[in-house]
Amino acid sequence: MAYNGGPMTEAMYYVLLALMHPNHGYQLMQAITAVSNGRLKMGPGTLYGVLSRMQKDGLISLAEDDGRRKTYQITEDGEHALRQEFNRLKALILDGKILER
Amino acid sequence: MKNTVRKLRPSNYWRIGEHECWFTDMANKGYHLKKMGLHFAKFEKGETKKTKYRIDVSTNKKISPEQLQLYAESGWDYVTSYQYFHVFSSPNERNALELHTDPAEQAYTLKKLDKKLGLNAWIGTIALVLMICMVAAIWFLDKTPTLILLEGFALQQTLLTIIIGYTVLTSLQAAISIRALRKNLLSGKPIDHDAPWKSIIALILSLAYYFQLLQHLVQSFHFYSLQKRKQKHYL
Repeated sequence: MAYNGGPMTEAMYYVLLALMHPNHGYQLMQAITAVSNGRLKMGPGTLYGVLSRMQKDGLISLAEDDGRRKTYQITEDGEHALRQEFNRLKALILDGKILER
Repeated sequence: MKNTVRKLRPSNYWRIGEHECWFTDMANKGYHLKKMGLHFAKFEKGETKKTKYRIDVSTNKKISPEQLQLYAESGWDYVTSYQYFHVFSSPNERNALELHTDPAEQAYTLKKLDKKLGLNAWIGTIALVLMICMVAAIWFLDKTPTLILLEGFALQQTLLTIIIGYTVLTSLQAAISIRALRKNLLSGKPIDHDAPWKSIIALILSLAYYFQLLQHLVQSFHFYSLQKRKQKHYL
């Protein structure tokens, strides 16, 4: 399923977020854990699946490829999608404010 | 001295959880998986070791070096592949993170296999229906089924149809199971890595495998006799 602008899965959101700085493989896994403050530990199978799908959808692209190691970066479309999702999530949080009263 | 044993797989190839559990149980007994074929798995005798096994489904028959590297760095060693299924292992003491931490994302890895198996099942079913029609025509079109039974020339076609029927049934089963697994994953239900493989059903399934092997033998015998008959004819 190509990304159609709807709500993102948590895995997609965090991979895009982590890829605001180009990164690769195992380091990317650690970057995801860091950017989620240790809350999200993404398995390598999940990460690899998300990467190959988002590359096909044009949300991320290869910055460097030496055969074994592929470095990914976020594309313009990807960053646009990420910001849109961020605004959607922010709206969700603001709407939930009534719960804090 | 290296000691290898071959064992018949206890469950159908598309049952992921059952196979993972079986490999783990074997490793606990000191038999470590080396290779997995169509029907048999090859194990190497060694020290008992608590080991986790995970089967990953890929969209290609070959697994990319990038994926292998990422898995290796995360503590998962590549063991073997059969068709679209790739087996990875990790000793318990390594405490490696699960391969898949998000079932819904894992569902996407099954998409291509699901489509392929679905298509196979459809084509097989159509072919089977055509064959049944053809064989039925041979038997019943001139309303002399007894004569045809006695003459025996429709027997081979009939047997072949039964054998193909069994194969098509298996491919239907595979398609339905993988579809169900994908749906489960999509709704957030992870694969049960400790699915019991020792059961009555597993026993029946292994008997079914022997039956299948027997069928292949019978089939090749028929082709052989057909060939022989033709040769005699020419002589």
